[in-house]
Amino acid sequence: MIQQTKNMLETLTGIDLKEKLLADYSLQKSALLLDNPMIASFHENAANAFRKQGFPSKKHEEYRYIAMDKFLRKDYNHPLSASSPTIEKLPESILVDSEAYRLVMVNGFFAPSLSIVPEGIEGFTAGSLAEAIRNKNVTALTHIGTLSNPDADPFLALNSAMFADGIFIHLAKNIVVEKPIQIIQLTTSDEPIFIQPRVLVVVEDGAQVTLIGLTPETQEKQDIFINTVTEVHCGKNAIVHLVQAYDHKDVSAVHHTEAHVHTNGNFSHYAIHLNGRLVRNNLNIVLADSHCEAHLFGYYHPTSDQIFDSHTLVDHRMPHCESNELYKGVVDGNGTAIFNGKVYVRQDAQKTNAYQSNKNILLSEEATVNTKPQLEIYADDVKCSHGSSTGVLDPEQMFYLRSRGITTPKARALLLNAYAGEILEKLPSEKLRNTLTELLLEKYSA
Amino acid sequence: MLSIKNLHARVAEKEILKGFNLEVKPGEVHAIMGPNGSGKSTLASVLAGREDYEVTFGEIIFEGKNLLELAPEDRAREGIFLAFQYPVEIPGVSITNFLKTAMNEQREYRGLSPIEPKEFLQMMKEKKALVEIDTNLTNRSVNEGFSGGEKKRNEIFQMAMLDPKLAILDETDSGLDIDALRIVATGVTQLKRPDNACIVITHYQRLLDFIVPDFVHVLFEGKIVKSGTKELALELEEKGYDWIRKEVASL
Repeated sequence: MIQQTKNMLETLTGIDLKEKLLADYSLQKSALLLDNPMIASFHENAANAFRKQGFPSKKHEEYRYIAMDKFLRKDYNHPLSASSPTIEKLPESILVDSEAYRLVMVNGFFAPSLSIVPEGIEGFTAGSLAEAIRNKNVTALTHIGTLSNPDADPFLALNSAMFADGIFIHLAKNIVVEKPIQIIQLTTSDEPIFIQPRVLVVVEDGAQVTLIGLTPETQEKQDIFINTVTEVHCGKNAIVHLVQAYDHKDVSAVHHTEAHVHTNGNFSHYAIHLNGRLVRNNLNIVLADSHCEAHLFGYYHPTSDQIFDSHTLVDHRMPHCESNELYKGVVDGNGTAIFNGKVYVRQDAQKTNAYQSNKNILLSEEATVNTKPQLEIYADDVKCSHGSSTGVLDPEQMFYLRSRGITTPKARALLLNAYAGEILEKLPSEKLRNTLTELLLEKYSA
Repeated sequence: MLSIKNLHARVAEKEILKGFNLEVKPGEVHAIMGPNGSGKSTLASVLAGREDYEVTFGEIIFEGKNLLELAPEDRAREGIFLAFQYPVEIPGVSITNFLKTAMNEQREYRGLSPIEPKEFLQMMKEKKALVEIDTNLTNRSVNEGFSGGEKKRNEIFQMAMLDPKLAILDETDSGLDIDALRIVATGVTQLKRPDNACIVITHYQRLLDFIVPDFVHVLFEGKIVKSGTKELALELEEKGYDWIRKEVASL
């Protein structure tokens, strides 16, 4: 009987949190609206979309492998303004370049004191999204929310209804930023929090930028849910690299990324999931014009109870585009990995080259992988391939290494490092590659 | 150094070694020859500790230790080295990283500190020259895309780096042309010292032109049926294995 009541409470949690957030929404409108009628109506539409959809249950086709209720605590607090950051200095170890620009968020709010932003550079803006909206930045206001449709996904709807800050990056025509821009997501709280940062990136024609997003481990041990939406406009001939890395054990994260790529544009995305209770990566890339390129790389390594889930979509709308996707993962303990990769090749998208591959290694009997490649092709002159494999570490390779005096854990680490290396070597920063390699080595020997 | 007594071993329910005996002393080179299926590779696998081979009877004592109780990595750390017949490819692991890891793991076992990078590089340079391996090869992943000859040379290179007490060459001559054979054999010969030993497992005599054995043993149906000196290898080359078969049958 007690067990039954507990189960009922758990299934109600998602509903409770929904009502609580919607109540917050009604009460806190002023905090969210940022005095802008356009944003107000954007929030309003999204709130309605979320009200309709609610949090997804396992009946939701796109969330069928996740018991989302488990991650939705009803006592989450939803901070609507920046708390004074208790973090005074960034740990050097997480920085890929201590001199490069960095945009730091604390609980989803831009933290100027921890950030290094460009100042007085014509055509280059990077900083707080709320501030950009408050200052009526034309680029921010004309682009926000134009790529994503809140009806498409409940978490996207929720973020669109309730984001109060985040990051805005704008590169005008032909601006090239040499050093990577880091986007660091810090959390600090003495109670469970649900935070919803919004990231808007507008890269105009011919501009180039590398963005490195990282959610690192922090000191406090609190339940944290981060529901992020990132929108990327990649203009004609623009080159954008976007890394999204999660390495925080107490975080449950849903990250919705929406990118539109225009003629000759080149967009590369890197999803690196090392730690987190739940990391759900919703990545939608639209190749909106001809001769675009998209590269999608992913590495995930869930261990005990962790669920890392990537749902990717590449939408080939026009001819002569190329997409290339490689997601690899290692699943240990009773961890779960989910990969769902959709590729649409629409009728107009002749001469498309689309490749997709998903590879998994299971390290334990309790590990789970759900992998589902989905190709939908409506054009007739295309080159497309997809494949997925799930296996174990090669016993012949293990024996070879051991026969040279290398112990089993070291041998495993060598092989796993080589396996992850295929993804990590693609990363657009050597320092990041080294940092992640070290974090992974720790994970292998755990 | 090595004492194998009445060894019986099987793989997948099939008994392959049926009472194998061998004594190896420091400074000796033993050749083990025999027709296909006589148990040559099983012997190599059992010595290295391959898990799908089950020893059902007998003992192997190496330097006073019961080898069968040791994990493959500990056998290596005690000083046993197997040059594989079919070295596996390991994409993404560079030879340099692999060897440095192996060497330091062995040093740790022996209570030594990790090798100095400078010393390691110097050693790499010397040993590469020994087997005529160029730097391009050692910068690559272990055996990945190597030709048959390169793989075998890489085995001997590793042997040179790890400096084992007992090396077992499992058909290292198979698939080698005469030049590669000479390089491999010269490498092995130069590594020979009064305090180490070598077991050369081969089907053909030609490797023994270069690596001159102190003893030649003929393995047949899981045990040694004949032992002699290097002249026995020549006799086998000339007459084939049929006369051994007949001799065994007549016993």
